[in-house]
Amino acid sequence: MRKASTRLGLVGLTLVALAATAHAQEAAPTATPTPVAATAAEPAPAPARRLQVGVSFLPMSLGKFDTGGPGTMMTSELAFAYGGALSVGYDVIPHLTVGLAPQVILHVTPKDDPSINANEIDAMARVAYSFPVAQGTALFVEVLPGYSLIKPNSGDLAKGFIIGGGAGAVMDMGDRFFVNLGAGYQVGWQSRKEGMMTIDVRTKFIRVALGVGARF
Amino acid sequence: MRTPLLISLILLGSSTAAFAQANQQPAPAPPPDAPPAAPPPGNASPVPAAAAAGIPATPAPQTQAPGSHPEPASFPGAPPEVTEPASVIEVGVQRLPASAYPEYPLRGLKYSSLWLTFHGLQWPYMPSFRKGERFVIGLSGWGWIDTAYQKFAPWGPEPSIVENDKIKYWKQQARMLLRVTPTYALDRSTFIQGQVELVGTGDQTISRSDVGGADTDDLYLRAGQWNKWDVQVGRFEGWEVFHLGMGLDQNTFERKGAVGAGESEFNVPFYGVTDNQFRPGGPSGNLAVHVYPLPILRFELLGMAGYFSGPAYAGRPVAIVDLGWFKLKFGAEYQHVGAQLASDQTDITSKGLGGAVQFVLAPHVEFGFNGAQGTVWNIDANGRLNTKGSLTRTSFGGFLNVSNGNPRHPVLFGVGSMVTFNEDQFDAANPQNKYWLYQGFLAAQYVAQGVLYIKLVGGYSRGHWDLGGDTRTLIENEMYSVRLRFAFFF
Repeated sequence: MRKASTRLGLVGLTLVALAATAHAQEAAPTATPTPVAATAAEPAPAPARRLQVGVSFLPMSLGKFDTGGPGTMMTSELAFAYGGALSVGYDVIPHLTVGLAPQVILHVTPKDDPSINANEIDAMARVAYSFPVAQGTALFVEVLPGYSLIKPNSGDLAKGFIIGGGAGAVMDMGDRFFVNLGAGYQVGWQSRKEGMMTIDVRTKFIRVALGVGARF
Repeated sequence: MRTPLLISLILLGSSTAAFAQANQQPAPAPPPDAPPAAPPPGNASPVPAAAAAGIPATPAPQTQAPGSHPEPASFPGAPPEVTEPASVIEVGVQRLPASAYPEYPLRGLKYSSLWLTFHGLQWPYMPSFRKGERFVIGLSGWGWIDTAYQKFAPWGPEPSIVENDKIKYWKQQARMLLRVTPTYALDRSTFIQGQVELVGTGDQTISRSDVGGADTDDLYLRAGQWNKWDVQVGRFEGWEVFHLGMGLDQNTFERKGAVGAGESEFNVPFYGVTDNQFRPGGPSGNLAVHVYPLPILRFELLGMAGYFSGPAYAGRPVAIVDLGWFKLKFGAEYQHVGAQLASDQTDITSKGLGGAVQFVLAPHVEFGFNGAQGTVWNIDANGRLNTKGSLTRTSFGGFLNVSNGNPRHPVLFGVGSMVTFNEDQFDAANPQNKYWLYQGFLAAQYVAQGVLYIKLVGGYSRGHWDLGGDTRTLIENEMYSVRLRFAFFF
């Protein structure tokens, strides 16, 4: 009984395999007959995946906070801040990725005045160039220009341009997924209006990004 | 390319006194030729099988057959040829092959921090791979050189402490050790093994009673049966419970965290059932029994005796369930330090327990979580409670390592976090001294040729101290660090 069922199973599997082969043959172009065996022996080329989507955790350290007007600028240290980023990029040419990388930074707080607690939202573009160093591993440099909003727990919104830059490594985790780790610096020129006066509220951070993503 | 270090061949008679006795009755016949040594299971090392089995590369001099006599000298006046007794042991000196490092159950992602941990497995694993006994001196070791930058960024209402704590360092630290492991395998199962780790120290701010710093790490003897049981005595580490990941390495500043000069009295070392895990200092040592009832289950019962600030003893049982992809560890410990003088009432008792759970999703991801809590109850020489020295310590944290799984160009990233809370009994009528320390890191590592580890670690630590009685003292400190490590495993 067991033998019979095994045989039946084998027959079934063989039929499925034959059907799959037939299907593959049907799919092959008929105009240029290619030896089936040769086609089957060659591995299918990896699909070009040019779109990449990722999320990153952002530990933002050694932050500085410049505030005041002309001639009255004061610099204070920021407590350790943290945030997250979403990035979407497209390989316009091999190794050159252009896209968007909006990020949110929480706990933007001067060390000497913990009552101030702000969140920073940075709408950034991202241009990155990668240098493959080994199979599945590349080093990259990146530039992130953008526009920033700082929303304190009380008071007006500050806004202004921002730019970041850095370098890191990206590592493939299989065919589609990757992990990246990078570090850099970002500086902003945010300000807010107080009546007729413009008050600068500029932030600077060492920006570290640990992310995961996928290519499509 | 690994080159076997099969250096020498020495023939040792079982009785050295008999060595030169040409006329002595030969020993009983040697056993028939043993079958060729099988290659060690899973041995990826290019070390030849013969070397792995401790067989010298050059043929050993033939031992004499029973009942025969030395051949006559080939010329007049020549001394009679000296023959060896049959009961000889070949002595090999061997760089430890890959088979000396057990791979089953899976230790972790290759080249990761978890992979560099043995989870209680017996190593160096050096059985006789052929019938009969074998004596091999295994050589291995590792060394590292760290170049690090560290910056403290304190703040708070105590300006004098803040100013004293505003410090930064450039440091290079190094440590290299040669591990010598003589192993006498009575057969495929039973063994007697010793190990000494000879240490070269590049500062690490010295200690081990100074003048040159540490000179030995391990120094132990062990006997038992492979994968069944053993008894180990001497200076060695207990089994790890709390795993930190690819950062916060031993003997680094990063591991100390954001503890500056102003709060050094309130140091916050992490607690991971670690009072008796690391090698004891001074004239102290361990004795441990290891039992391996199943391939996936192992136990250590470690005892310590010696002298710290006074006569000390301790016990530390650890159990590990290890399925390879899943590891569960649990440990507990007890330590007592008393006084040498009868009139001295010093009595310090430390207790604690903790556990860890780890997952290995080879070849790309491994992660784990740890938690432990311990207490110290400190009675001083006058029989009074030392309130600052009596505290509760709690640590928990986790780590995540990812690897590209590439055997030729392995790259790993690691991230980890840990927080430790301490609370002492000072001025118990008021809020006690409370202080905590957070330590986190990101790491990237590349391994060249399977032996040279190049690792970059960025660290962040944050400490908070809330001290005193009615008038509280608040201290806040941060520490940033970057460390580049070159490590060579051989």
